[in-house]
Amino acid sequence: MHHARIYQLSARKLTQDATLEELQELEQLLREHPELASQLEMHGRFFNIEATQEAADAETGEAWERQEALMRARFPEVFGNRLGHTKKGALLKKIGWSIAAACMILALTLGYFFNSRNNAVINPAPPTAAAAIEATSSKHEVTLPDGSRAILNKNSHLYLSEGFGSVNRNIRLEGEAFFDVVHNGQLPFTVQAATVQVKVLGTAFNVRAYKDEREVETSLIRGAVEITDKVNKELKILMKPNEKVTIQLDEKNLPDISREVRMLYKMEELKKEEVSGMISETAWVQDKLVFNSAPLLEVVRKLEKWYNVSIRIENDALKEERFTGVFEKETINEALTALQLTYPFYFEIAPGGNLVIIK
Amino acid sequence: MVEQIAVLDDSKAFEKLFYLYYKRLLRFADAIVKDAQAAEEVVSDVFLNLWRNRSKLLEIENLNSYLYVATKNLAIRSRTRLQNRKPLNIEEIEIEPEHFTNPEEILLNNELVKRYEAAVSRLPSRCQTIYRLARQDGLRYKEIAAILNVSVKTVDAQMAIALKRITQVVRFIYDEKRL
Repeated sequence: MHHARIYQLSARKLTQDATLEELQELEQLLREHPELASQLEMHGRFFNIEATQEAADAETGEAWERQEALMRARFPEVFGNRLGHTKKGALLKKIGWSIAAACMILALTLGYFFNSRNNAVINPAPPTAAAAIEATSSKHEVTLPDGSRAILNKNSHLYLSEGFGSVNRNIRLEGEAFFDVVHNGQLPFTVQAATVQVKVLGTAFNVRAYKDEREVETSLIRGAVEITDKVNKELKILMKPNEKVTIQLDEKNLPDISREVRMLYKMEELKKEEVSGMISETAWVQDKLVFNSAPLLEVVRKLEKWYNVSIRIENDALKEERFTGVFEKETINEALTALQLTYPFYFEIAPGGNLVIIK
Repeated sequence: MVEQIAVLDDSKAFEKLFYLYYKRLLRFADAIVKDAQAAEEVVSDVFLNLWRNRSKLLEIENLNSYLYVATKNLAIRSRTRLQNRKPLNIEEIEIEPEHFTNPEEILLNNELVKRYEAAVSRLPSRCQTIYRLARQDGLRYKEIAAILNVSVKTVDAQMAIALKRITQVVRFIYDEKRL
């Protein structure tokens, strides 16, 4: 009975039709049925072999030449101007130039138009109350006006721009959110996090951009997104599923030298925690906190947000140690006790429970 | 790319789109008309129409489904005209297999790839068409459903059947190697 479900979910996974929940269910089922796991892994390799390119490209090239000739005959006003070897070359070139000039003007106008529209979103103008969604003490799930789903983590805000769902799908994020976006070819879905912009092409992904963390982290589960940064105009990343991109935000007063060596961005593969099969970046969606060989500094940063406490590390040697664990309903005391198993350390919780000291 | 074609009449973007889709649409047209030259004409017409209707391109919700459905419609028309055949039944669509990249690179030997391809070609025809559209054309369930005019549920069920049958062959190869 489980086998049928495994085949169904694996098939959905191949075409990226599986939801995050289904992928997690599949992981779980495959752990219970290892006999199928290796076959499906093998099949996945077959499924993803690329077809031979060279021969196909040559054939397509020939087909394009025939198509272009047809297009020239039917639509000379556009396809004609690329004819360099014609006898009427000079005249055509002239026409070509005027068309090119006309296109330039159009492109510039459009550019201006789009820019001015973008600015309206980027400028953090005080959003109207109706268009702001916030989650303070617990996470919060909303369905946006366009049918897309957003799950907001604690202490996070979403601001929908005016006309969201009808003339645009622009959102500004402070904090962390997971998005499952409904495809709409005419209205791209964009998330502005600090200076970083994530443009979505129909997909499920997670953005983490808490103000105190000085970086914007994007994890893509399925589909495709494009990332740009207002500050680094040359930056443009097209992400594939299972990738995570971290962009460090520009510190305003950095000396010139460190500006030069500043990493533009970091790209990593999303890793699953071995035992639970969960991706730590999106585990919060299911009320879980997952560490997969994470350095103590990162663990502390996440525990602070999760339990709403301050944590002080008084032993520098510990900072680089790595910890693994999955937490759900544990108290901070239980969580830290469990973490002591991966690497021994001492901790105490100050009276009142708002401050933890790790030694 | 679609915006560039629709708004700016960009012939370069049109060329890119042609390169992106030509081979796949040709294969799909051929699966229906089963005549190489007629299939080429069908795809050529699809692109001519695409350019002619470019101002409406932005209204298209899914370009994948649009191009395949357009190809299917023209292919069916060509098939009726050429061969004077009855309305198309899904079972009659036969998509050609692709040629793979050098298998050594991906640690699968030739023999295995041949057996895998044989397993795919033994799938029932509707199941095979759905599987090939997913595998060779990289289409999503919703797109395949729209193109073949079946429900997403059908695609979901047929893909699971395909996977079950093919993995059984893969297991057979495994067991055989172990002996």
